Amino acid sequence: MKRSNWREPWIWAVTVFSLLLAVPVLLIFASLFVPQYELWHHLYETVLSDYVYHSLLIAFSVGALTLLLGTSLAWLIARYEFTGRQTLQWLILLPMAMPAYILAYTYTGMLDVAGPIQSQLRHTFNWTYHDYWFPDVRSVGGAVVMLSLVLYPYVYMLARTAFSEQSASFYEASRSMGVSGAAYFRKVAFPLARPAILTGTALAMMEAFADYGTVQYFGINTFTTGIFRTWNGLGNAIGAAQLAAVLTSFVLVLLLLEKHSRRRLKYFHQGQTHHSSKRVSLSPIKRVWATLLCLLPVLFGFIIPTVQLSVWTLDRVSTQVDEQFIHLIWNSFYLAASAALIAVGLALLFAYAKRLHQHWLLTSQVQLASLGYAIPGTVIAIGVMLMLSAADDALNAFTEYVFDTSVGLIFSGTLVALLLAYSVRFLAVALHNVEAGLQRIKPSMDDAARSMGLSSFGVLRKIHIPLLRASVLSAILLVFVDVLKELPATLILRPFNFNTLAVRTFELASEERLQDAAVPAITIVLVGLLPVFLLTRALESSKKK
Amino acid sequence: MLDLSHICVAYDDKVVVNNVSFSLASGEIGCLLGPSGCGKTSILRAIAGFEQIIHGEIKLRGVQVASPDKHISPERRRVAVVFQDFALFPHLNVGQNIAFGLQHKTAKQKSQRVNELLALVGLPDISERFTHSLSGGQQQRVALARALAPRPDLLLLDEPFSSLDAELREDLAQDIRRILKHEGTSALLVTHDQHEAFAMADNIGVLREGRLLQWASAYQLYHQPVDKFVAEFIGQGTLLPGNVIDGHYVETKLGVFSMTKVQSAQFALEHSLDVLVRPDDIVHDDNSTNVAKVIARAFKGAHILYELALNDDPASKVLCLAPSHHDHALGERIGIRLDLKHLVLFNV
Repeated sequence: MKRSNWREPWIWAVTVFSLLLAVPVLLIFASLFVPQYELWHHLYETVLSDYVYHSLLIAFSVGALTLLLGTSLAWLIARYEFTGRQTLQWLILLPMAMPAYILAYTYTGMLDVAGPIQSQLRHTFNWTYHDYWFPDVRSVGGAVVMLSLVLYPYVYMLARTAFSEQSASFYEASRSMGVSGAAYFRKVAFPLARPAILTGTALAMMEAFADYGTVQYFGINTFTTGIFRTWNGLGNAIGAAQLAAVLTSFVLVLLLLEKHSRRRLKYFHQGQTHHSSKRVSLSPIKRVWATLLCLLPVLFGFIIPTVQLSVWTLDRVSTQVDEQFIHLIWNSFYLAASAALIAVGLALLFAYAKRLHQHWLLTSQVQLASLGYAIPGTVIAIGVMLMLSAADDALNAFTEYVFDTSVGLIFSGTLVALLLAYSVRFLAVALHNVEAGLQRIKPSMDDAARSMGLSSFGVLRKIHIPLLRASVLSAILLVFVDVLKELPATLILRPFNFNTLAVRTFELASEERLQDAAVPAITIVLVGLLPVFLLTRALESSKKK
Repeated sequence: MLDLSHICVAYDDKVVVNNVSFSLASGEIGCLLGPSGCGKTSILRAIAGFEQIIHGEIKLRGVQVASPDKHISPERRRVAVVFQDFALFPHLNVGQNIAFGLQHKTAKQKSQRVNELLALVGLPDISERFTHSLSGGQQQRVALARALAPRPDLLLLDEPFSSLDAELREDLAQDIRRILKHEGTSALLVTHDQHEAFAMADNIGVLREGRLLQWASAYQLYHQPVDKFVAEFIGQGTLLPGNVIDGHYVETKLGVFSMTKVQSAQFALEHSLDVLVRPDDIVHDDNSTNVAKVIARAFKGAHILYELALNDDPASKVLCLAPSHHDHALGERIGIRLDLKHLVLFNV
């Protein structure tokens, strides 16, 4: 018989915090019960079809492009031996450090009519503006390319792991049955990696749905820009929430796909690897092609934009790096650090509660609270806003009733709102890392330590803390950088006159001061490199095991 | 069917298979037996075409498939492999797995062959199931069915029982032997377990450090091993010191034995030799005047395996497999007699 756990403080803590994190998203769906006929009529007449069309078009195109790019890069790296493969396998991850909106500003600065490339073309061929055709970066196609360039590493990472974990005996068995080369990829390697590839693609598509900075800058009407406009321009919070609910349901479909794929992944993983295949050496010509092919996405997704940003930064560093900029960095860093500590603290609470009490209700609470990674920042921001302004209203009504005075906005419009939104959005990142660390501490280790005379505090100090330290630190770092890069929620929820690097980049770029924007932008990119290095190290060590 | 002559396989200059030759007749089941790292799996992989050979040649049905300058790719050899981890594709169901090698057959031919094989391996109703829901023994049978489906010329089995429970192994080995004989498929098995080898193979090759020491039937390997390594690796036994008398006889503590002509020619000039004594060569006989002291015993159910010291000399030991009723304690002296059918002699 299982003893009822509900007197445990762990359970109560988890219940309270997971509800707190779930409420914003639940409110978004609750908004559907307050009809907004006028707004929807207006939207239907004007931009709604654009929202749906553009959001779906961008998400699916990004999905297709990242799938193609990520899978082929992964197959090349996992399967073949060629010049620079060792270095390229982690260089390919670099674009992850680049937020899509920064890529969008940079390419716009480089490629628009007044930019260096077109100017040079006109100068060289003596053309005027109307003499030639040049692709417009500020288009749906441009947005798809920008997003795909920074999102393909999701697919690449998962696919590469899947390909390199496929047992060599699968390949040998296929060959002995007459199947090799392209047929092997089609019939065995790809179907086996499909759950991993779909998981990666679903994640990339979620990010594409969530993107605000790129589409806003390119002037494309999508759900995220629509939510923003309905909230900010039309001042209709419920309407914004309803749009957010529609966007969220698109994302939830992807979430289901992702969860389903991850379950299949477990089945497919059962074939224990005895030894993985030797990589195939390519002919000299093919080798060059492979190197070039792997280099291209890194070049366009990271190297070229970083060089351009650096050039602009060097140009503007004297005017842009001032007291205000230092203040900006301070704001961003302490906000990101506080958010990271809160998220990891919650993750530790949830992970330990799950470990101590394996109760289905607890597990599903934690799961609900960690769904935020799939929900676009814009949506979370609206949900947090609804929740906190209701809390403020209630509090003020209470103080007016009891003390005959109002206390003003305590929650909304303060950092509390931002920290709550970040916790909702990034808890999953922290939880994933903490749980991975905690999994290595088998319950039998606790028992063994206790049987050797350690108190439970001693177990924590001598076993858990040393073993968990690395994963907790990497969880903090990952959340820190994610918060630093986060744009839409920060934009909506920041207190008046409170700026961060991401917001400042966005503001400067919106004012077409692209070169000035380079200074905060490159700061974000450089800090963003940290988790990429961390990831590289994790991938390396998992291969050695 | 299969002819290996003087093949060598090397990984980065390290020779792992050294000058190995043997042949397998059509329908014959062979086995490569040896401790881990002896090169047996490398030979299998060379035959399948997964490794290249640096010396010698491999022929299948009289056609050369591998030599230092020639390497027919695995998909063109008509050699099937059952892998140690079975390598069943988790994204395909059992039927699709078995039909995987039947690329150029019609759907009807495929399903007919699949059903035929599933019936043969004794799993008639699992075609629709996925492999992760099968037990280890079932997976093994499906892997065998899949390998046999394209009617290969030769079937290779790499440690096919290593991931199964001990109780399952011998049953399955017998079963697989029956299936292979039914299909008339030549097969070569690789294992480190002599019981599996005995249960399945017609002929067994014992390998050590990349060399093939002896290629013979299980009976011959046991009773007429060519050297001390084979003698020790196959079955149990002890070496009893003996002296050569007149160039034709060997004298031991258990009696004098006459050598064969070949042995006389080989050992005439030696003074002392080692005589191989298997547990079944020593018969426990309470009436015997020859007594030995029990220094260790292991209860085996129907039998007890005694380790006995002759003349109280712990250096000259023999093993004796006595019926279980003859229960003797440590230190007791029991009567034995030597019933040697094959005199096996080695240099000291």
